[in-house]
Amino acid sequence: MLRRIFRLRSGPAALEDEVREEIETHVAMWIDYLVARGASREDAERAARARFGEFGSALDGLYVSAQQREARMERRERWALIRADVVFAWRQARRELRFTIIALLTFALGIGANTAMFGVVRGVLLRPLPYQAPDRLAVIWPMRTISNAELLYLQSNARSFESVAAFSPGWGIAMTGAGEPRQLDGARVSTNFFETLGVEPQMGRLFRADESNPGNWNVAILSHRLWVEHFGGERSVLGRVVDLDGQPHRIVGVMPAGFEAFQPAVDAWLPLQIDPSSSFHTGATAFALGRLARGATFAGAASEMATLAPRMRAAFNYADDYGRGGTVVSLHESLVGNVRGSLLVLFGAVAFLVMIAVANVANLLLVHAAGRRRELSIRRALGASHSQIARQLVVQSLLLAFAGGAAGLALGVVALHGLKAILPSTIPMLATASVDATVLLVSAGVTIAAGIVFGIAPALLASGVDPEVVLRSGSTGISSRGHAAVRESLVVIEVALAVVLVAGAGLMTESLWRLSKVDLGFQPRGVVSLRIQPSSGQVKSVEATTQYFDELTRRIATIPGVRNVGAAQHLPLSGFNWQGSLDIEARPIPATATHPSVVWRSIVGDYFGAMSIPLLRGRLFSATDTRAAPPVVIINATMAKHFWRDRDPIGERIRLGNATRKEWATIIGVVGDVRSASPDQPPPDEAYRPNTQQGLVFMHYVVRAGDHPSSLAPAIRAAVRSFDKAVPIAELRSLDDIFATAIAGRRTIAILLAAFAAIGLVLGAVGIYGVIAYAVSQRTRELGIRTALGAVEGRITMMVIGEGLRLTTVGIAIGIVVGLFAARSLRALLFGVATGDPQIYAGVAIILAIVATTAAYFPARRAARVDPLTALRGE
Amino acid sequence: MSGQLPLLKGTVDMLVLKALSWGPLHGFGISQWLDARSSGSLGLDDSSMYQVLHRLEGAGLVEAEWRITENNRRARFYSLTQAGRASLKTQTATWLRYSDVVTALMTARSRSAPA
Repeated sequence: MLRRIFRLRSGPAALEDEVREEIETHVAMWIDYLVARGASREDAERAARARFGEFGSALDGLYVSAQQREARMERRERWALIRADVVFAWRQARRELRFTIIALLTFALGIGANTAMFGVVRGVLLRPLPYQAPDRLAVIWPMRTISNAELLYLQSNARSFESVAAFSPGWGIAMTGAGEPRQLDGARVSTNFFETLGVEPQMGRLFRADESNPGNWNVAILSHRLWVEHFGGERSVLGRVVDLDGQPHRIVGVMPAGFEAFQPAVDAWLPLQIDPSSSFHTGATAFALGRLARGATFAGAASEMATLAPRMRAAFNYADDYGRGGTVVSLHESLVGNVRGSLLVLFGAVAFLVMIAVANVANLLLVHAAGRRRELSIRRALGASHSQIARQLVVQSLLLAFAGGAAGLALGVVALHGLKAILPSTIPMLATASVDATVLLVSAGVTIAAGIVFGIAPALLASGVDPEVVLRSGSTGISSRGHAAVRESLVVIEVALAVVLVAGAGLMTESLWRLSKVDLGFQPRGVVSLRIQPSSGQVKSVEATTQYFDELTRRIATIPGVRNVGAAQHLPLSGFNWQGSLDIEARPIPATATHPSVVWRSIVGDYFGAMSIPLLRGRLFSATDTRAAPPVVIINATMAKHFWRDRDPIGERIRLGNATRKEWATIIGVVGDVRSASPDQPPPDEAYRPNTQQGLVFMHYVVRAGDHPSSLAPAIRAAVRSFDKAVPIAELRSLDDIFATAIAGRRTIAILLAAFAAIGLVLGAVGIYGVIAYAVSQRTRELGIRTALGAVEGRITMMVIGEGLRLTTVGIAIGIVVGLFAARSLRALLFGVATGDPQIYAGVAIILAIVATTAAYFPARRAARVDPLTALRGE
Repeated sequence: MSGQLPLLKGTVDMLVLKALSWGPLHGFGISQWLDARSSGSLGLDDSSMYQVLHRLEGAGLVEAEWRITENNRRARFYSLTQAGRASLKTQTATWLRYSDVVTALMTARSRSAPA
């Protein structure tokens, strides 16, 4: 290697000269040698040249091999340099194990959180839907269901769509006649549903075009999960006949694992039952989706829908407001639109966390580099160049980044599993989220970028060291003003980011607290619920249905410990609120006006007692309110106030869409309000009808018992079985669970934000500790003098802590300003608390101040105990 | 040049390293040493030898430096690097074991192994 230092950088021509010179010398030496041994000059010359074979071409060959030699040497030397840097960095890392571990952990945490969260965001928000040409798929009239009649009309008239399909979610289906009775989560779909999405079954076939017709619709397609769990994954399942809701159905196909559309975790798909002669033909049941025709656009499709709506209204005799606000939006938007806000909030929080982590590592490296100024100065003095030292520092940082990044990726894979487990399963496509190539690439990119950022800053600061100044000063290195300023601003940034995270977590936690204190209008504690759906053969008439549920209610009521038993077709907060359009007999609504829409429930037994919903006026349903008796209805306080103000609604007659058919029902009572749609929404107008006059064939039972209602589950099961052996008992759970599910999304976000905030706080504390501890170590001499001059221990402690608080205060101030802006993204998720709630921000400031004081306390105590003699005598 | 031996592949590298094991030497010196010690029986031409030197230098087994000879000529002197010394050591050991085994086999007097 010495040789290369003395040689000038040489081009190919210089290399040729060198080779020629060497060979000519070689030949000359041979000639001398041979002449000295008695040969004639001519003979010697000939012999010496002959040793090269054909001399000219031999020389050419040597030029080539010399060039190869140079290339190889250069490569080798480059590698040797890098290897030396890496070995050096490794030794450095091992020598300062504590520093290395803190930096690694910090960085791994940041990258891990980022990887997991980005995995979810990519899986749910960014990845195209797993259907054929998903960008051509549209939802028609989102948030509104269409009837079979509308479906058929659109299929034959809408030109903007290549095909129009329908999906009707949430069909609970009882499966019997195939082992243990089982309640299935089913969906009914138009026969072209799967083709419209462009998906294939794993085995068997999709629905045929005529399988929505009466007589043909008893076929089913299974999910992969149901096929494996219930049918053992056997091929023989195709063609098998099972009873679904008491009707024999033939299994014709199985969808591939992971197939999901609209409703997660569907067990079986059945065809829509389309019977133009049925009175349900014009009743809305299904969401419509379409595949855009060649050349069509979403906007074009929407305007075509606007022209079709009045024709459909006329054709099907719909209300005047029909078709209002109808739009066509992309399927992806309509699926993920709801969760985008929440996921982006979480992703933003993670981005903050990554920034805190990077700032922290940069800070650690800066402090570290400052501590090494003396060492670096000596190396500079010994001849190491700026670029050599800078390169070493960058290599060291990159090594740290790669090790931390690798650990972070591993952490991220684990964390993603955790995230998928705690995020609400209703998030579409969540199951498919994984650390795929894109996620890997992005994480690797963040790692490298971070490595360069926190490598270059210290490198620039440290390599600019003037060796003379540092060595002469005799200290461990004076830090320049600029250097200290960079470190202090990093701490300020960390604190500010932590404030934003903690404030976000605080706002979400406060919202949850308020939600849990909300008066729901019913008392979920002490109640178990279960779903009962007898097979259709047992409940052919309203009378038979009444008899069935009456007997079941009686049997459950006799269980010791049970206080009240009742049922409704859907419970509050379950996500299902059936609506009907309201007519009031005394106040006819003009044909052109919009009918108000009210929620209605059909109830069995002592539903109000079981739910603890108070009767405010009038009477409850009684045994005399039978099918033969005049129809009756009970309304809630909100509805009474809404439509009758201060007058007494009792005795008024109303009609409630398909809830009361064409008959007028008399209001006999007013009950308390229930927040049935969501805990954060005011109670809707709501009406109750006795199922004895309604005859719905499935019910969610509510059973109020003592303090431990869940312990009654076996007895309830036995009571149901003693009455009907075959009926599936589904969704047996406490009513508290339903409430928990209703706020699960918020809870998850609150938990995750709290976790991120906690990590952010710890990292911020580490940052403050690092900077203060370093500052103290730099000022040992000064502190010693102060002590020698009589400063009290407590004063010095306070002085050092005060410095920590000074940085923290600036950070808190900036953090609050940023937080007020950032909190706006949370607005949709908050409940009962403003984005700028002063108490929350005051609390956050106090928390940060406490954390900062604690972090500064340890170095402060060390500062106060500096022995003046040692400090003054030492360097 | 009768009685020349065919050169086994890889042995030239080893021989050149060996020539340098007593200290730095220029190409002529190596070539002359090989010639003299083998009485010219190794059919190695000088251009092949220089190619071997280039390869060894590229691989970092030898390094080179221009110096003045005692006869006042500028010549490129080659010397072993640490890696070259280590390589020579292992190559020598391998060669000696190999030649011992082959020699023993080739000079065996009967098929049965010696007791």
